[in-house]
Amino acid sequence: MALREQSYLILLALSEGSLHGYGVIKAVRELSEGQVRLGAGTLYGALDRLAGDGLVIVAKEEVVSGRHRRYYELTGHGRQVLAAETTRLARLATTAQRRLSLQPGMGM
Amino acid sequence: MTHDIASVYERRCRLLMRLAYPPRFREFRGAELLSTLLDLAEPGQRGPTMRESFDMLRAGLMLRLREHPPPWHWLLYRVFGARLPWRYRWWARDDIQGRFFVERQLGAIMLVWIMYLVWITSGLPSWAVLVMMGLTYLSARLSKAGLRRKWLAKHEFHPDGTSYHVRPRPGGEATERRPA
Repeated sequence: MALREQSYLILLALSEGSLHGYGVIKAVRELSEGQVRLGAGTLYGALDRLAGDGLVIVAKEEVVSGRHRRYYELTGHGRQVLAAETTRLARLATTAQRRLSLQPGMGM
Repeated sequence: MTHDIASVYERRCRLLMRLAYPPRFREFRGAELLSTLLDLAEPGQRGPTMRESFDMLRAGLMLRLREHPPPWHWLLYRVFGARLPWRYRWWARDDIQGRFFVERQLGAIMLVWIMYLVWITSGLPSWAVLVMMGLTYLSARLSKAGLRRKWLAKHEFHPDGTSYHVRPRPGGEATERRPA
């Protein structure tokens, strides 16, 4: 199953432990080196879809300084899908590098 | 962020959420979404940015489209009062409790039966047709509360819109499963 870039980055952000919404947005920004800036609307739409596919679940809920926090974490299936997608992307990157290195003037 | 600016920011976020998302979403995700928007605010920011506003409006529209019943079910529900499948019952609740519920129902019924209505009223003077339509509308308006109660019960909701069954928390399951 090929994941959208945003979904992949969200799963990757959650791979080191549970995070709340704002935590996911920050982690995705860091992972993508500032290239992907998730909006709150996009984030919750993506989380709903990922939860629907059984890739993430709510780990816990709490209220901190009057702010409602809901923490999300990967399911076992989510971790498997993330690993499979990472392998696929790595293979694709290797192929891309090999092809580019064959082009004149593109030695890598 | 000073208290005044923070409260202006929060008020604008709430307004945006009301514009973008249906009540069922705000009821279960509103507090969480608002907290995230408050976390995202830069010092001194007085409202959500254009980018954030557009993102939420787009996400809200996608959610509404995703959760809207398919045309055939929608037509049976709107015109014949049929119960929607279980996974659309929260959509039905918002529709029944929403503004202009009676007008939406009557409008759809009239559109579907328009040929028949034209035929049965063809011999009548136009004022009589208008009086009949007015009386129908008036009786529907007067029985609105009872109509809402009945339709909510049909979709397993109490008259105040609370569910007969506990809803799984968002992020747990994408669609609510019918209890055994």
